[in-house]
Amino acid sequence: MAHISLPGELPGMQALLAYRPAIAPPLLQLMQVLMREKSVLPMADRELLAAAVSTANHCGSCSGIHGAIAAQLSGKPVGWVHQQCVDDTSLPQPLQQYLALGKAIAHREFRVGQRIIAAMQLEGVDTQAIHDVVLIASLFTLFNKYIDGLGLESKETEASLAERANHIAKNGYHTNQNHQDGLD
Amino acid sequence: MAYIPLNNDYPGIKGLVNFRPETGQPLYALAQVILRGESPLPEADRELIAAFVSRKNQCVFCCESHAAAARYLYHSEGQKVDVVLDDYLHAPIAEKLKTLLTIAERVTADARTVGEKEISDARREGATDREIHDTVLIAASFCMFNRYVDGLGADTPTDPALYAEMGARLGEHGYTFNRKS
Repeated sequence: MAHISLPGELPGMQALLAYRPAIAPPLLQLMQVLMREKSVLPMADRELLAAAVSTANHCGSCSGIHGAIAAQLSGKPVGWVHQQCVDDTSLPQPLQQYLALGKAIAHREFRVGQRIIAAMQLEGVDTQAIHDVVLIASLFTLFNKYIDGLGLESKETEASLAERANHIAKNGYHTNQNHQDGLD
Repeated sequence: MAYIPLNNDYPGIKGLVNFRPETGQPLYALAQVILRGESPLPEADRELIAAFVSRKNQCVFCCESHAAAARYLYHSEGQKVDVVLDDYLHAPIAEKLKTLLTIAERVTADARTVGEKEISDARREGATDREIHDTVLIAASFCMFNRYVDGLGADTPTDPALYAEMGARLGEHGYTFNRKS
């Protein structure tokens, strides 16, 4: 049970955005820019990064929904996505490096992160992509700790996750509509 | 020097938000809501929680700038900020704030370890749902800001006068993003 009384039975971040609506516009705008706008990082890879960081932070709610979104965007099975979150060695570069950098940030291993960034730069990886990987990992650490710190538990099934993932995969994290449709 | 070329000379998070204003603007908007928006927690206490979490995460830029903002907002009682950062359980602050700092410390270390005991201790001292929520949200948010700043190796000034000036500005004007400031 959550540590505080929350309205309704909404899942994860949706419950928290309903409790504190003033944080919805900046958080949804960050999500839309980082996860959906034009980038050299494919959308499916960004969702996989979000799921991998959430897995590193042991947040089942966030890894569940973003893993399901990554699966829909990449056309891969959900099980495959979650396998990559714990063992990314069969993934191609530079995706493997993105995940390694994201996990180093989540774990505050900044020396490791610095070495990965230097290696990415030698290989000519786009500076904004490096920036965005660091910020996505930092932002998901916020979501993970916010949800877990308030004791929220996921009651979702594979079917309910797939349905929500489908909605987000289609519509993104729009900031100009009811926030309850957007972020998890 | 930052790990990526930022094309500006601003210190700390300011250099990062000016590199990518599309994310900088909502990051500042978030800081404004959680540290200055409507809340039962006084602004000075919220800045103190931000500085405390940043100290636990060893993020010097965020700790020094938010400690300076807290000192400014506590006025004549500003010196208690340093006692809290060194040993909050023996600091001259209300017991309720100590229980909230314990929750913030747990969120910072491993958020799954915020348990019934930490919550009931806070409630016994009169903490409301909203105060517990705001503490967790500020702690989680600074776990983000700290990683963003140190993960990209943002420039961290060492001159205390510079942070005092920053603290006064944050205390007076809050968090408004504009590319030149």
